[in-house]
Amino acid sequence: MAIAIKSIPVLKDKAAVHFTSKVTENSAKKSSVDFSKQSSVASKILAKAKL
Amino acid sequence: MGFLLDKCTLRPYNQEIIDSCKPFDCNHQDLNDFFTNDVDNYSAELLGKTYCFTLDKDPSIIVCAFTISNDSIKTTHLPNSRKKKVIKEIPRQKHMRSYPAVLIGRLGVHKDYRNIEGEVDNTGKQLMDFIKSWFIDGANKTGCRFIVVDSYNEPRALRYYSKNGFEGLFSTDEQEKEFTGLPPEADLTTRLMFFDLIILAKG
Repeated sequence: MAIAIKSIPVLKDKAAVHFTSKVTENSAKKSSVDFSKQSSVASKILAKAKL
Repeated sequence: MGFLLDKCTLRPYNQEIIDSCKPFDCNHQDLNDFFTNDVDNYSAELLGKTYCFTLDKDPSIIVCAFTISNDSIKTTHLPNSRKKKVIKEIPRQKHMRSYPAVLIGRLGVHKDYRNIEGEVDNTGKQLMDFIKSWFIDGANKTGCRFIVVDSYNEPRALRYYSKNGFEGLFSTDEQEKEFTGLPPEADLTTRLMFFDLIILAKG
């Protein structure tokens, strides 16, 4: 059997503070990366998909 | 437009695919083992759903596959500003916050289809761009702020996720062992990494 997939533990103390600061930092950069081309490709992939 | 769009088709990866396709070889023993023997159990227990891209000109070839599940990143801590406001006699209040996330449990690309001649982006990059786009798509039925991956703690895998904008959820191996309940002497076989979808503009 392969290595089990790990679940995400609750972040506390330093790890929580570090993560929360990253969240705040990223929120300030909301929608700053143009992903329209990749999104368009993904829509076409989903339209063609056999799900 | 891209190899995965033009030459491949997205499908659920299930026992029928495993039985009808040629062996999916990612050149990684544990990944191969997972995609051959464990996927069905994860799916049956509703712990993860696996998808794959098959080659259009030969649908018995699995080009890449990935397993995803719903998860969340939960934080609990006492910010300094809050501590100052809490009266001594009152037990400290803990602030719990939960951010919706999707967990990529496993992801692999067939060893013969990683770099396709004439493609700007390799197949792994195309696959990751698809997964990111899927979870910022307006048709996504639930909110999802982060993609988290349980990456093998190996240079090649860590480099792949870093190049795709992921960063470690924990700053050190030791911290990750502590949070995941591993003894200090144990091997850390995987590392949790995250990507914040909020920075992407779908246009």
